[in-house]
Amino acid sequence: MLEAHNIQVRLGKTDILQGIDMSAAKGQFTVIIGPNGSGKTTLMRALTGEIKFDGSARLNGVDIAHARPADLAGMRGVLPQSTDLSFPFTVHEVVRLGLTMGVHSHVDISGRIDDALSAVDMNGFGGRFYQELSGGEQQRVQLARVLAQVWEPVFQHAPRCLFLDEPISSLDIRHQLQIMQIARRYAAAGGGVVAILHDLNLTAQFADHVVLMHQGRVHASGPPRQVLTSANLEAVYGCPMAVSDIPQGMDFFVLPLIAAIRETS
Amino acid sequence: MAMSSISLDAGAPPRAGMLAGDRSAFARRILLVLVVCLLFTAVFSLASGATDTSALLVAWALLSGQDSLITAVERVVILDIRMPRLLLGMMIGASLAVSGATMQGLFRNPLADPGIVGVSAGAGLGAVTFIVLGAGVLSPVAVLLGLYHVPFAAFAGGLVFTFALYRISTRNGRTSVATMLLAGIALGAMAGAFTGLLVFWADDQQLRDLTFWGLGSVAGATWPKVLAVAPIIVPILLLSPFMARGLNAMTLGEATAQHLGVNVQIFKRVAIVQVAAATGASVAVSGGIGFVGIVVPHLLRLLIGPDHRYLLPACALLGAIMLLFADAIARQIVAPAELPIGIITATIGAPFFLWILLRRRGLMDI
Amino acid sequence: MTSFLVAAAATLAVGASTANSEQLRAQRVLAIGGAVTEIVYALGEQDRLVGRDSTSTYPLEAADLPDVGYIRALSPEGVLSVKPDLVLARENNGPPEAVEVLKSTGIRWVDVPDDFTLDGVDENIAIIAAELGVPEKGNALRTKVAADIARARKRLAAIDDRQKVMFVLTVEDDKINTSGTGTAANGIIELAGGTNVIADFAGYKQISDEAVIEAAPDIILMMNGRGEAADHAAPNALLEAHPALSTTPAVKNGRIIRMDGLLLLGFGPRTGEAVSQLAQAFYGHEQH
Repeated sequence: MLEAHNIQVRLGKTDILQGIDMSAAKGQFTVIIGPNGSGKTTLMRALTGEIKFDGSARLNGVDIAHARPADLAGMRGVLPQSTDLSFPFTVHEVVRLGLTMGVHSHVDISGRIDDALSAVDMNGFGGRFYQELSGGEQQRVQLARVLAQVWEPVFQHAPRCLFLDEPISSLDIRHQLQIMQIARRYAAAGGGVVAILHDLNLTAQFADHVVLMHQGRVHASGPPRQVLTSANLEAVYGCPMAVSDIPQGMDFFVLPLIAAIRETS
Repeated sequence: MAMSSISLDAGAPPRAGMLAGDRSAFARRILLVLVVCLLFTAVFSLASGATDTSALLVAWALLSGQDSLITAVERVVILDIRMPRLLLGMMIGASLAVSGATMQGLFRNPLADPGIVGVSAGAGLGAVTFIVLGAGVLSPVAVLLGLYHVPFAAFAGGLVFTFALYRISTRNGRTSVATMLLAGIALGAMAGAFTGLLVFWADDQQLRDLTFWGLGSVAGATWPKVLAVAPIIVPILLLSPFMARGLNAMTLGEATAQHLGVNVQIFKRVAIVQVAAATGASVAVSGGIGFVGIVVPHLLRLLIGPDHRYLLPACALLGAIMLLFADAIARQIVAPAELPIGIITATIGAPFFLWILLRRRGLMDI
Repeated sequence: MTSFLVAAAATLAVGASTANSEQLRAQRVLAIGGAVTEIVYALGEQDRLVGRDSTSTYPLEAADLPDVGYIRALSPEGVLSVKPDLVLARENNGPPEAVEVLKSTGIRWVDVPDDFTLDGVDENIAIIAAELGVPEKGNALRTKVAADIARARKRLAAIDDRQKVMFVLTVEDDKINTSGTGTAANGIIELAGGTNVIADFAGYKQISDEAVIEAAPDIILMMNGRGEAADHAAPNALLEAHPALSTTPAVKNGRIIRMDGLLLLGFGPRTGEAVSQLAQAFYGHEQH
């Protein structure tokens, strides 16, 4: 579904991305990880057509660099790291902005907005003012806006894609898991999901495909078990990593993984 | 906490229930109310003035073909003085308010106004350039553009200044309010300097035109002026509803607007040209009428929310109403003389602007 | 089209007869321009005035008439509201669009020329007297004004050493706005036997400090502020503190002359009085 070859981005005199090859398949949850400054967000901005880049990137065969914004908007939704809103919109109105390019005539707009809010556990918040919400609530409203834009994971026989840049950064553990499940379900229904995450445990639990970035290059990519190895992670993050072991000197630790198992079962 | 104070700006509490947060039904009702208000204001404006001419009698005489019922003076008062003034006032008011709202949406800030950030000054410079040099160096251009040369020059001046302002104050899709206001001051000063230079060169006849022009007034409304700006302002007003989706998306930032399907580069250019053209046309015929572009959109955002699908038409209506209202004050207060309308709008608008500034102080990056 | 022609013909006919016939002469006169109002009063026809503009401040009774606004910012409907059948307006009236609309109503509109010479004063009285249908009164006033001016200028012919005068319109932010040639200020200075030191440009313009020093005027001429009893000490202190003006002989010798703006620059029936006062201030002549 998403195919990128030799993506290069220069900002000023700095090479931010130095030849990235990656792909994301439909039906899969693809997670990009890597330390700060490794180029994750720049890569996502290139793949969503937000910045110029060298190399080729195609979404469902469409050249991302030269596509019309409206065409891309029909195929993928993008949740940026942070969004500020300049005027006092209600939550309902913010989610409605996801429908900027319109919807098919048979779709009930208010119903769609309510469904999107329910999906992120924000039902009943439609009448609240966005600026009055907490950071985590705002992040979920923005996700609802993105979901409203590409509600059906497969539309007219073509898969759609969610691009999520740190979608769970300011959420509590319950809502982190909830968002990860939304992403999973979107992939399970035939769409694609590309997310940047910092939480390696959640990555290990939810990802189908992991891209590990380091200094503007792909260090490793593949299934989580192949990529999330002590050797890879220590090389990239520069600190000792224990994978699948209880860290030395600790009797126990809290693992979101365990909470998630209880939540899902 | 600073964040909570923005709720003061947020307007009528949205209704509960299934459609909670959807203010569009309310906004539509307000639009209807504004249409009715505009009709009343227009009739009032046509019926009132320093002379005791009866608009009703003139209308009856014209409709029934009984010209003998009215004098030539009464005819002129209604048809050649009050009518063009009414139409010009409505067009200018609507265009100032819609330009203000568009610019605020584009810059993502409720304080952006063509009058405050130097765009009007740029348009003024364009107009003055042609008033002074139109008969000399620039006469081929003036002849080519005919009736439209001053509005066109004002448009060109406004365009250059809006574009410069946007380039200066926007980096990576984010507009800095501080930079915008400071750049506006610098651009305004620059325009002022060049305008001063042109004024120095002007002869007495041109100075007379400039003096009157600078006052900000629709008192000089004539049919040729109406015809000169209508082809610019009316299409812009008709175009503005099509800008609403883009402006709404832009409130989330340029990048997100692009993700939502807006071709941001093209959209920005269209919006800038639109603001420059509307401001230029208004400034060319009425001089500097300030603060309509900031007061009207702000009041309406309080009332119906910031959704541009309703905000823009509401601005056009309320802008027209406000200007007719201010004009009515301008002509009555010292009758038979009259005040420049710019004085009225600034007297009401400047304190209002300060009020917005004070309430938003905690939220701004300055 | 036909009706337009008929209307135009009627206007012309009315206009012609207003000027010539005693019976049809204008009864409701609007005077626009300070000197125009003065002339109407000097002709003794003030009872026919129904309005004035804001520059008409003399004689003081004129203030009781409705004010239709500033001469260059006339409001068409404001002008019509005093229901004039004759408008006598100094030539620098405006805005042009408003005046055009007013002229289209068929009301007789007469532009009184802006000519800052003795002939101009004479001609303006003649025009206004003719429009008011009182040519005899006009002739009497013309003779009187001409005699006043001649008396005021009687001794000037004998003067060899003409005073160098600079007219200062305003001093704003220490920037001096002065008069070149072709202005009322230039005209009255010449009539009173002075020489305008600024002859490099026409009209009123701001000049540099160095140009002020270079010009070295013997006398500085200014207008009074509104209100006759205005305190001149403070403005004079301002002139004395000005870096360029303070070097001029005028300031050093305390020769700063102030006169009422309308008297000085109006070129109305009081021109003789203005010349007389100025000449006396310039040369200290006894004029009686």
